[in-house]
Amino acid sequence: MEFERHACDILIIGSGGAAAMAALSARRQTASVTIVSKETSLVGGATIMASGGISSVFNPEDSPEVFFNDILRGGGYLNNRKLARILAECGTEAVLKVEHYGLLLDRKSRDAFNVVKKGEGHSWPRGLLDRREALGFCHGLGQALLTSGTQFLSEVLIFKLLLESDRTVGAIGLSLISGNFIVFSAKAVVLATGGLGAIYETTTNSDMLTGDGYALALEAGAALSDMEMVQFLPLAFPYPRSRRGTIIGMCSLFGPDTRLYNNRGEQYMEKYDPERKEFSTRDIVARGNFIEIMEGRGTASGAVILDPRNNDTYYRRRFEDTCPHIHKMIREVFGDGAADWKETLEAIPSQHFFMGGVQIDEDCKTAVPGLFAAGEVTGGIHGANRLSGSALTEIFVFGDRAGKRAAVYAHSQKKISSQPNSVKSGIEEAQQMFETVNKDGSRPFEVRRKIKKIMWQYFGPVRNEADMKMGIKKLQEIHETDMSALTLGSGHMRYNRERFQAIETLFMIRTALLVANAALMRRESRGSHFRTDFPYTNDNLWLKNIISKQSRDGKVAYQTKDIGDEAFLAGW
Amino acid sequence: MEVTFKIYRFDPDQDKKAGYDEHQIQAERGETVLSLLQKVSENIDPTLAFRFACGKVKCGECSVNVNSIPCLACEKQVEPEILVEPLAGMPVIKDLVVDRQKVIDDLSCRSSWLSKDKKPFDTLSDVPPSDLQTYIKLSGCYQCLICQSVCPVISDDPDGFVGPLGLLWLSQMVMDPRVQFEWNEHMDAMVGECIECGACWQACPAGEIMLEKSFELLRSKNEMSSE
Repeated sequence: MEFERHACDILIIGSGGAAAMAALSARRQTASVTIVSKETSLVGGATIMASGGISSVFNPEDSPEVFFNDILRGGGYLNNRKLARILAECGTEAVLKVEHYGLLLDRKSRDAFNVVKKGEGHSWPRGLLDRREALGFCHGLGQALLTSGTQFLSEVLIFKLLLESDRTVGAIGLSLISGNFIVFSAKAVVLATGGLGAIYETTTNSDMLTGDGYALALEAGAALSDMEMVQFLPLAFPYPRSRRGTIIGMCSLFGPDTRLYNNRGEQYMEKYDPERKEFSTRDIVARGNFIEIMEGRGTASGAVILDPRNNDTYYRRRFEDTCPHIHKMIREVFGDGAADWKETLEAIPSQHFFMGGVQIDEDCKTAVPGLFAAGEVTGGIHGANRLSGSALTEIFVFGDRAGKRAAVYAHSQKKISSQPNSVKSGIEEAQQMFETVNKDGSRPFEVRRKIKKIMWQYFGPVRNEADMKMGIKKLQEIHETDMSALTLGSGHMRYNRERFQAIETLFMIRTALLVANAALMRRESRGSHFRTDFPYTNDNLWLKNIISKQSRDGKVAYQTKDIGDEAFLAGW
Repeated sequence: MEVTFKIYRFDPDQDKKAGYDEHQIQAERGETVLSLLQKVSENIDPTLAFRFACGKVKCGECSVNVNSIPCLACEKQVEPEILVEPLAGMPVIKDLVVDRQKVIDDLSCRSSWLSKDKKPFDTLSDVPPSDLQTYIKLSGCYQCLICQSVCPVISDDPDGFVGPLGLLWLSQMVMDPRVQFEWNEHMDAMVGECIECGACWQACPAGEIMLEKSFELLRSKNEMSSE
C-alpha cells in the first residue's frame, strides 16, 4: 500500500482563522506545526466570508459581565458557562493579538477601536467593523503564517483520525493535487474544520463546510453537543441562482429605520417580536422571514421586502464603507436604485452558523486524549443562538487557546506511531469509494443535492415532528442506499475533486443525521430551534444539552445532560 | 442563452501539449463561469479540473482567464462565447488549476520584508488617520494572483522580480507604524524594476486603487532614498 508520510508535533486541521491562530500560538512553543487545509488560501474557510464584524467589550462603560449575560440570554441559557465567560473576558485581548500577528485593523481614530455597530441582542455597541470586511485580517494572519515556520499543506482532505489506545496519534489525508494518501503522525491534533453550511441548500457559507470535523470527532469517540442548533441569518440574496443564499446580513447594518414587509405591505415582524421587531435576534427575524415566505406572503421570487429607504444617509455611507463587497453585489443584483437605498431590496433567510459541535473544556480538549478543537466545529459557547460578531471573536480566542494548550500537551508526550493495520484499513475504506467508477449509483454531487434539499425542507428555521420523521427516513435511505452505491465519474488521480466530494458527502450525511436526530429529540422551541408542535421554551424539561456520542459498535446514542455537567469530558 | 464554452485542457501525466474542449451549454441570465464549469464536470466530463473554494467572490481561489482577460470565475457572468484558460504564466497542475501554493511560497521566500518584526504592544497602536486610509486601501487583497499573472516584468524575469503582490506586501510594511523599517538597496531595485504599465492595476478584481496606491507610495519612498 502506497502512501506519503508526514510527521509533526501538532497537526491542525482546518482552513480558517481558528486554524491560523492555533498554529501561530503553537509555533511560539513548539518546533513543528502543520496545518492541513482543503483550500489553498492560507486563511480562508468560513472566516474569509465574514462581514459583520468582531464583537467584544470595547466600550469603557461595557463590561465582560454584561457581555457574558448577553451571550447567555441570546443563547437561551443552553451555553457552557465556562466557555461563554472566556469568550466575554478574552475577546479584546485576542483581537489585539490578531493585529499583533498581522495587518492593522480598521480604526475610529489614531488609537481607538472602530466600533460602529450595536448588533441585535447586544446591550452595548460591540461590533468592530472593518472596511476590508474579513480580507484584511485573513491576509494578515496568512502573512504571519508564511513567516512563522508553520508547514502549510494545501488541498488535503483529512478523512480519518488515527487512534492508539484511545489517544489521537495522527490522521490520514488525501491530496487533491497528487491523488496520493498522506499518513500524518502527531503528538496532538487540533480540529478547526469549521461548520456545516454545505449540508443546507441555502447557506451564506461556502460549499467547503461539509461538517468534516463533526464526523471525524464522532468516529474518534468525542462527544458532540446541541447538534440541533443551526443558525439562520435573516437576510441573504434570493437570486440569481449562483448568488442565492449569499450574505446580505441583518437589519441593523442598514440602520435603525430599516423595515421588513411581506407582499401585503404588512410590517410582519410586529407579530413575531412586538418590542424589537426587525431588530430582534437573528433566530427570530430569520424565522419570521421564513414563515412569511412559506405561507405565501412572499414576493413573486419567494422573498421578503427589505426597505432601508428611510434611514439617514450616514447609515448608507457606513454600509458602503464597511460592507463594500455586499454593497457591490446589491448593485449587481438589484440595480443602482437599491444600491443607493432609493428602492427596496428582496431577501431570504439563509443558513449561517452552527452553535452545536464537539464538546470541549476550557483548554479546548475534547473527550479524546490528544484531540483539541476550536472554532465553529466546537459546541456550547453560544448555546441555542449566537449573537452577531462573536464567531470571529470565538475563533481568535479559542484558536489561540487551543494552539497553546496543544503545545503544552505535546511537550509532555512521546510520539506513538499508529499501527499499520489501522492505517491500512483507513486507506482501504477510502479506496473502495473511489473504485466505484461509472456504475449505476448516484454521483457525489447528486447525493449532496439530495441532502441539502432534505435539510432545508425538514430541518430549516421551522420544524415539526412529522416533517422531521420524514426527513430522517429520507436521510437514512441516502445513508444506506446511495452511499453504498456511490459512483464516481472518473478514476483519475490528479486533481480529481470528485474523490474529495465522495468523502465529504459521507461527512455530510453523517452530520445531517446528527442534526436531524437531535432536532427530533428536543421537544420544545429554544433559540434557533423552533418547532410548530412545541412552540414554547420548556425550562422544566429542556434546559438541558443533548449529547451525541458513538459507541464502539458504531451506533450513535443521543442523551440529555444538565447544563454544566462535564461527565462527557474525560479528564486527561 | 446558448453558450459556446471552450475550455483549456492539459494533464501533465498524459498530454504532451495542451488542447481545448468545446461544449454548447444552456445558461441562464446572471449565471457565472464557475457555475458552467460545474455543469461540465457534473454532466459532460468529470475529468475536468478547476479550482474554487468560497464560490462567493471572497477567497480569490477560482481566478482564471476568460476570453484572455483574468477574472474570478465565481464573479464573471456568462457571455455567448467563452474561452476559459488557466492564469497566464503560472505552473499548471491540470487543466485550469495552477500551483498557487508554489507561487505564494516562492514569493514569500523572496519578500524578506515580510519577516519584519512588529513591536509588541498591549493596546492599539497609534496610527495617523491619513496613513490608515492609505493602509486600508492597500490591504483588501483577494490574493487571487491575477496581478502576478499579468505582470510583463515577471514574465520576462520570473525568478527575479517580486511582482505587484510582493510590492503590495512591501508597501503594507512601509505604512505600518509598528514596523522598524530600513529602506535598502534591494527594495530600491525591486521598485525600480516595475515599468509602470498599469496592467496589474487594471486587472485587479478588488479595484484599481490598491495596486496603484501601493506603487505610488513605493515610488515616493524610492525617490526619497535616491535624493
